[in-house]
Amino acid sequence: MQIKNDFRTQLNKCKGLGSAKDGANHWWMQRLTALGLLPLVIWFVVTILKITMSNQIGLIEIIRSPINLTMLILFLVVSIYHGMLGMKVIIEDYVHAEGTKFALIILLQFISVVSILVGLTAIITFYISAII
Amino acid sequence: MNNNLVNIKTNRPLSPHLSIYKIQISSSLSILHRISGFILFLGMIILPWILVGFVFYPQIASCECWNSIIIKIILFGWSMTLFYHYLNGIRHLFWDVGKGFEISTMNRSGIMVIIGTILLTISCWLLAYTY
Repeated sequence: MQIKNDFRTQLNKCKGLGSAKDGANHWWMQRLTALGLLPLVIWFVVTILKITMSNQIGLIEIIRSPINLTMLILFLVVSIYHGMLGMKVIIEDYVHAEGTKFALIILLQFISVVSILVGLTAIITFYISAII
Repeated sequence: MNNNLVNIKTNRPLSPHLSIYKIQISSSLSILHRISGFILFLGMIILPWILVGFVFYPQIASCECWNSIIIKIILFGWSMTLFYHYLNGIRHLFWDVGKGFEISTMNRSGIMVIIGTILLTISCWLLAYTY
């Protein structure tokens, strides 16, 4: 059996398919957010333990500190962004029907952005009610 | 279009399907990384809605249902998933800088991830319950 040197079909070339030259950025952002999540997850776990282990400390007491407020917002944004990047790869790997794949990726990006904004709304409203 | 048909037509070599391979620690931890990532993402997009509910409708926060056993089981599973993904993610970051690829090292780090996940999950829940 003879194997061709060029594995791309002529139709593939004609349609301009192939790399979108965007993969490196996706890969890099996934690693950067992973690095950022290393300290953020530790903060998240420690904070939840603090709240569950104490009767005095609730989310209000935690969020009053500007450091904790920043960490919470960072954790929300970075983790959902990291998750969106990962979910995109999962969809691209397992959904082969072009239309469904496209629709799912659009849905994923909408859900991710909406979740981040809903989370921010909750945190900011909670913070304002905590400081006044 | 059917990918197999394209492959047959163009005489491309086919890589063996996943089910051909023996299940190994490397492959099972790899697929678990994806599954855990998926579960964590689900949790992270549900969490904002719960927070909004807590802030705008205080009666949701005071609901007894948050103490239910089902919620505790879900949280236990989610925390274990988080620790697994965290530890295995560190493994992935080491691979990204080209370290830890030897088969013996990889198997050892894999076992460390499993033990670490169990230890972290149990100690966190013990801490939360004993205090």
